[in-house]
Amino acid sequence: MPVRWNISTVALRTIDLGDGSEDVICPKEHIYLDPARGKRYARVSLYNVNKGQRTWALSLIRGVDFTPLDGDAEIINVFEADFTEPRALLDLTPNSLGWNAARLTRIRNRITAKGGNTTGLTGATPLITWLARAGQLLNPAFDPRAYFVAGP
Amino acid sequence: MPVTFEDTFTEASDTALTSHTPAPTGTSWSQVVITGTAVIQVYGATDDIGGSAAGSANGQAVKIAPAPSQYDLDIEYKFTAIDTGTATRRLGALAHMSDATPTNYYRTMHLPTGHASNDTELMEMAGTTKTSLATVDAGIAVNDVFVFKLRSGSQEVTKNGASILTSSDTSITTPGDVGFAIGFVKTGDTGNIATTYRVDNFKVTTISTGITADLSGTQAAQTASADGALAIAGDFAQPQASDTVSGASALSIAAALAITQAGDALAATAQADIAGALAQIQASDTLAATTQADIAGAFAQTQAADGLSAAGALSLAIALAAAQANNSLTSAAQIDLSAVLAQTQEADALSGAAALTIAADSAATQASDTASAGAMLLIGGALDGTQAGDALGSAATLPIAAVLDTAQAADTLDAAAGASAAIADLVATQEDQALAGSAALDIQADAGIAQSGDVLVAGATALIGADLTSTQAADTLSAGAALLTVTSLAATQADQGVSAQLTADIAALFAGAQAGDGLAATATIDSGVGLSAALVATQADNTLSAFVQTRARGRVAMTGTARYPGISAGARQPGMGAVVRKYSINASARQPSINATARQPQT
Repeated sequence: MPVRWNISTVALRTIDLGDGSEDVICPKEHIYLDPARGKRYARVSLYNVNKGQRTWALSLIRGVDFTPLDGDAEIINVFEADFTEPRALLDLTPNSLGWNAARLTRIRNRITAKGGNTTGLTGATPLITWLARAGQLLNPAFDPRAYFVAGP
Repeated sequence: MPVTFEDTFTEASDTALTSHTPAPTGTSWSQVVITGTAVIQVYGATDDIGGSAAGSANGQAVKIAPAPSQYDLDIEYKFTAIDTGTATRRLGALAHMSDATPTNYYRTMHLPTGHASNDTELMEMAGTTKTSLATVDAGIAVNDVFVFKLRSGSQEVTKNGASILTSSDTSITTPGDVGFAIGFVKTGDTGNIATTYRVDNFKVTTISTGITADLSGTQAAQTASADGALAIAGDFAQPQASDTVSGASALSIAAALAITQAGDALAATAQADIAGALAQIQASDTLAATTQADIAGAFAQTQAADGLSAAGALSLAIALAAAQANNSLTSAAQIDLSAVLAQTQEADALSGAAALTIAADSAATQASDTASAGAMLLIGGALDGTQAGDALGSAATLPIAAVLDTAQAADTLDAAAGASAAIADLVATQEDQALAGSAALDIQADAGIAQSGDVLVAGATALIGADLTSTQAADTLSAGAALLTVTSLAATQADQGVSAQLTADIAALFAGAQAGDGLAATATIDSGVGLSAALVATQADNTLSAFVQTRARGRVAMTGTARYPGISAGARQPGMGAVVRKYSINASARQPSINATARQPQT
């Protein structure tokens, strides 16, 4: 199953469990079921270390059909791309993936919109560095390689 | 990694877990909270645990005794029966429970495999607020063994040894209690209890100093006390840094480190074995006496600034693709660089009996080493780049056995020294050597470019044994020094300053000019020993002071206007009498022609 890195809103949400519900702090993706599996998306999320500032999360999402996520404006696929393996993607670069300047600008804007610094990031910069610039806004010790979620 | 608690749930009959004595390891199970009447019980028929009854919004959380004393731990359990339903019937392990409420904890939370939510979730509980850290549909089956791994700043869940999720939450920092829960725990952590899911072999292992599993994230700042061992067997995708290993402890890193391994401090007798490839920097290690750092793998990046004290040894056996620099070795310390250095190796400082052995190719600069008395700098392989600016103290040696493609310059060899520099083929400049006392500079092979500007004091010897295709010029020899040039000089050999009682032996062919030497009184240019071969180009403007003697038997071509040789009064010219004033010898002349004021030699 492919994976992607998302930026999405975080809130205390009421999740429908079928035979009841529960209130849980989670990223927006957690409310959706993967249409292809009828289950929630596999996910690991990075939150702000300051609990009072948990307004958005950077999440590694694994699923089959991302249609519900693509249709939610509060959920942003950071790289506009899906990858086959969570860790292998980290060493790729925009240049090696053939991404154009306009796409890089959009990615850059997603990071700066959260207050991130994209100085020095270029098409030759590995994706792990791009992710770190975003995630370290939430946790200065953030290391994208420390995040993994398996497929079923 | 001591097992602090283990229970295989052996009972003759169904027994409430809080009434059961854990075995083989542990003291007791006790209740933390309960909602409703259903409890967790040991099933006597199957020797496992599950809910005693089904109950909506019923549940119990229990904890083990003794509580783990360390934060880092593994909680292991095996599923013996699976709930394939769709209802919200939960169970799982609890860790780092802060108190009896419990207020804060981490939890693995498993749901029936048919539930719309995934069957495994990692959550963090703070008060009555639950945060979903990660979720994955693991596909739980009978005999699946789950391990909930909690480390400082990270969490991981494995199934049958394979990681299924990782996280790096930092909210809870105290060890607290370990426990297990089925169903409803408290407000905010709700659910139902049931009898379907069953679990066996509950085991808690604390992680003290040894780490054997793969770590996909940062492994940093471990502390191993005396006799402790820090063993890291798996791949590190991230830094392993700043470990402190005291006493007789050992730091062993067996696998690949993709990033930095740096700043380790090893006390006496500690040992660091780093067997795998280090793709990045290995730097600034500090090794105390008798410690040893064996770094056997490839270094793609810098290895620099290690400090080794007496008897410490740093062995770098494999290729260093980048700089190895600024090592400091004190007495008896040893650094062996036996493989290829693709980049700079420079500015090492060797004292006492320290030895710096560079056995293989250095593609770039090796320069500015300092070796004090007794120290030895051995460079056995080819140096493609500059080797320059070494300073060798008394009795120090700088043997450079192989080809130097570029400059070897400005070495300083100390006098009483007995310091010596032996240099094989030089295809580039070799110049400005300073040799004191009985120091010796042996240049045994070809120097493709200039060799010049050497300064030799009394007793020093410069031996240039092979062809110099370019200039050898402006050397200065003081009394007692010797410049021996035994083979061909294809270019100019000029402006030697040879003081009294010195000897310049130039034995071979000069294809270019030999000119402008100044020989002081009693100095000799001895054709029988030195200037014995043909000079096919100009030999001019030599100045010989009184009592200087020149004997040239070779074919000498001289220009008409050159004063060669210019001989002061009282000097002797072969076959001539005294009081020669001036000779003017035309080119190709077989006999010198002598001006009127000179006496005609016998012809």
